Amino acid sequence: MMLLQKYYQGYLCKYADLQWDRLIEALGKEDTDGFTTLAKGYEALAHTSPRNRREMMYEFNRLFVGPDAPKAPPYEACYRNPERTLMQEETLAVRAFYRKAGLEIKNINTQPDDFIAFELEFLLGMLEDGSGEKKAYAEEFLREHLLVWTFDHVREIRDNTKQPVILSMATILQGISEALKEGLA
Amino acid sequence: MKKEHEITRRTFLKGSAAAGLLAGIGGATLSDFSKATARAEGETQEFFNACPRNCYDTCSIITTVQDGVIKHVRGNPNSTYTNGRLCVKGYNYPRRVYSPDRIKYPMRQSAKGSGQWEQITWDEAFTIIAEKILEIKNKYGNTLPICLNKYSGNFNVLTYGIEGMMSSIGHTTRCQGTPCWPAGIDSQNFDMGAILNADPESMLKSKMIIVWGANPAWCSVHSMHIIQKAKENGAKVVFIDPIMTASASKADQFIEIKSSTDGALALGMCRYILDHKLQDDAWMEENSIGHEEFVDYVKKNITVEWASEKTGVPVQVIENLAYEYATMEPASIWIGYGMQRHTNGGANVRCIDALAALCGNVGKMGAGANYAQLDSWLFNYAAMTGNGANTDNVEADRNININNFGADLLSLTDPPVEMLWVACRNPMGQDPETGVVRKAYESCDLVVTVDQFFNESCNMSDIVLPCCTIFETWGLHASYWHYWYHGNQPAIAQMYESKTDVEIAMGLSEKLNSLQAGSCTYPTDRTMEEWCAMEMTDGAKELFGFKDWKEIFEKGTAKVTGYEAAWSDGQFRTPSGKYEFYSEQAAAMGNHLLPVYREADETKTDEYNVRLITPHWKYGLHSQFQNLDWMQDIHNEPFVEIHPQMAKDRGIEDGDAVRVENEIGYLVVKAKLTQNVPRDEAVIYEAWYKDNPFNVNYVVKAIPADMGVFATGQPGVSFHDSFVSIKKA
Repeated sequence: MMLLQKYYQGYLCKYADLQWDRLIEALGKEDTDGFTTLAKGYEALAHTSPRNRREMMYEFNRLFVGPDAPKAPPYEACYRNPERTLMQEETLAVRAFYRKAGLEIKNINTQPDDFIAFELEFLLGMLEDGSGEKKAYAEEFLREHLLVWTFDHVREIRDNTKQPVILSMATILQGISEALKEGLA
Repeated sequence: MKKEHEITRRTFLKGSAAAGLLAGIGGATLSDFSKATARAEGETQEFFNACPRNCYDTCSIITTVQDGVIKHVRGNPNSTYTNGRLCVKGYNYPRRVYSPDRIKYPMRQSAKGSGQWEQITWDEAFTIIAEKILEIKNKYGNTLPICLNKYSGNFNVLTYGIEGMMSSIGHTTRCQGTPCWPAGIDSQNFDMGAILNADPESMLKSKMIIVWGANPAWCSVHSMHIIQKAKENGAKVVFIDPIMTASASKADQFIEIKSSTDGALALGMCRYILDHKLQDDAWMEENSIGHEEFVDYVKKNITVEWASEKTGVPVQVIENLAYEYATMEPASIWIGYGMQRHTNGGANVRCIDALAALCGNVGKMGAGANYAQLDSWLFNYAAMTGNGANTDNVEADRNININNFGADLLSLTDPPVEMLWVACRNPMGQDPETGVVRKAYESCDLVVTVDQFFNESCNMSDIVLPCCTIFETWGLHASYWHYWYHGNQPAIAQMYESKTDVEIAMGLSEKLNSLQAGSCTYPTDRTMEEWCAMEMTDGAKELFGFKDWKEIFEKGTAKVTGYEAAWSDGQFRTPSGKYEFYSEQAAAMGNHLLPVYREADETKTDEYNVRLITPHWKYGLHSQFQNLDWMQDIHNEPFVEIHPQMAKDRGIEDGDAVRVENEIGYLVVKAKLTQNVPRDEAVIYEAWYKDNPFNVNYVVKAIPADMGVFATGQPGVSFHDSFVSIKKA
């Protein structure tokens, strides 16, 4: 999850070859037993070439950042608001959820609260805390927000790119979403 | 228990080797969050904003904000011009702010048009740009290789910060002139000494209103409201246009005129008026010079029959129109910008001015030859004023014609242009001769574009910088038509990393000086509010009865009074102080002394024989608004309007793809058959659609209009004088 959070914040766009090698090696040691999609994602990532990784940034920006209209905008509202407009009730519901847990994003209103990296970070925060109350928030957040749209987001990525690193990361997002969904069931 | 265990285990990477690696980049978990602050649920605030677009109506907006988010926008009822209403474009603003498509961060492209974009920080952007500027200065001893192309995308007075920044570096190359209205500006400068229309709200006092080459139902909806009300009051409303526009369909009378022959109609009317002694000799005697010569010209050269032949308007219609215009006093003429986008456009406007003056329909309430005005622009232009570093080896800026931008830029060699800055413009979308403009872009080492949405111009840029919407900044706004003066205040925080033009100017200035002390004199220590405070003139404050400029935010808007009737004091701003039928200034600029008829220089050939008119579109303003999804939902496809007869002759049916072509390019577009357009002309509305390469300017030539140089430095563009062939694709 942290991998995806850092990824969507753009930190991997300028990751050096060596850093990638180390990360992929470490990911290979992750316990993915029983989570086939996630395992597939890690494996696919391991099979990308250094050149794929170096070139990932352009495709990342085309899909998620801009300056042209992003092909797979990483905001919850884009998958739930019928007009894909940000900062409407869908985004504000995420804001209200954060507030329920006593939090809000820094520099509020300068970025949509439902940016995927914020949603992942919030979830991580709740889970890392470990308390029963925070875990309950995490489960509720997954049910009401994150898992409602990540599968659609993954589909939109797949429909719009062939870039191996981006596709691997989409598979990882799908894998984690599936695993979390299963855990909730 | 199991559930809890599963979820925890599935947080993944926690405590793992990968997590160890990743935790080191960026902030710790929840570092992007802070403790929630207490807020009053449901509390809303209202702010005053102003639509800054290049539009007659320049509306004051009331923005309702809740929890820092725009909930909706509405027209400010304190302005009697807009009466609390916006237009279809204005109501789209929340989508503009909250569209996922907005440009969010400074971005750099690996090569123009490659689509390979890298996100960079503002500091990196400023560094790249500043280093290029200093390199140029070092190489040439001046900064003329830097070209600024900026115009009307945003008329907030603070957007002039970028001109100020350029002037604070040294002398640069500037795109001079204006594409939209310069021929008419010159005409009215020659005739009256300035453009100065009567307050459009005064049309309510008119007995007759002639709207000549304007389409307010699409492009000035609040004026349409006034016209309709005048009609209810009993005024006769006449529209003169080659196209049966949405506005014309609401008129008492629509007169279809052959494109570019408007001057002939005005002069034909003058002849009828003179023959029937309906002119106002007393007014002309007291207020004008050259009227004898003009009367003499009309009597010797013009007949109603000649005018009828030129214009395609029947004699009887011209005679009735002339009689009514001369006798239904006061009568107001609205001279639109469409009719002056011809090679004889300026001459045509002078003929219409002369018609108004002949009948003494100038200076009276409810009358006038109303074109535009700039008297209400009571600004100090503080952000625009730059006092250059004075360290270069040239004396002045170098001007090129904004209306022939591509070719002019490419022709510069001593020194050539190396860096181009584009703001408040989309030359790749809106300039004529797109192919040439593309070459100009390609010729520059560094092209910087500041914008809110990605377009063709961004695609051809090296660096794209995100700018704020009007809801995220301060500002003052005036209209070139009505006399309301608006304040604009930040309603919401600046989203993503967007900046205002002045902030960009300050940031670049700071960077330049850090790299080379004294290389830029643009002030860097003012807040946007302080900049805005500097812009309202003392005259404006006095007129509005303000002690402090911020009093504008009590009502959001204030009216510049004294213009209910333009020229009511009879003090024309011409050299003679009178209305000049006979204009030495016009002659000095190579035009005729008198408002005579000038034939249009047609570029028609046997092959390309269909005149192409490219007017403004109802769901867009140039390349703005039509790209927004809310507009795309209503309408998402460009088309060419052709008459059913023309279609029949060419075997074209409604909905067919047709090829529109001439010497400079072609486009393929869907045919829409309508009797609203002339039999021998085609109409394509200029617009920029989302995800669509359509651009009408591939077939629009950069033909100069007859006037514009006197008042704006460069001639206008004859946008409606391009000829094309139309074939089934």
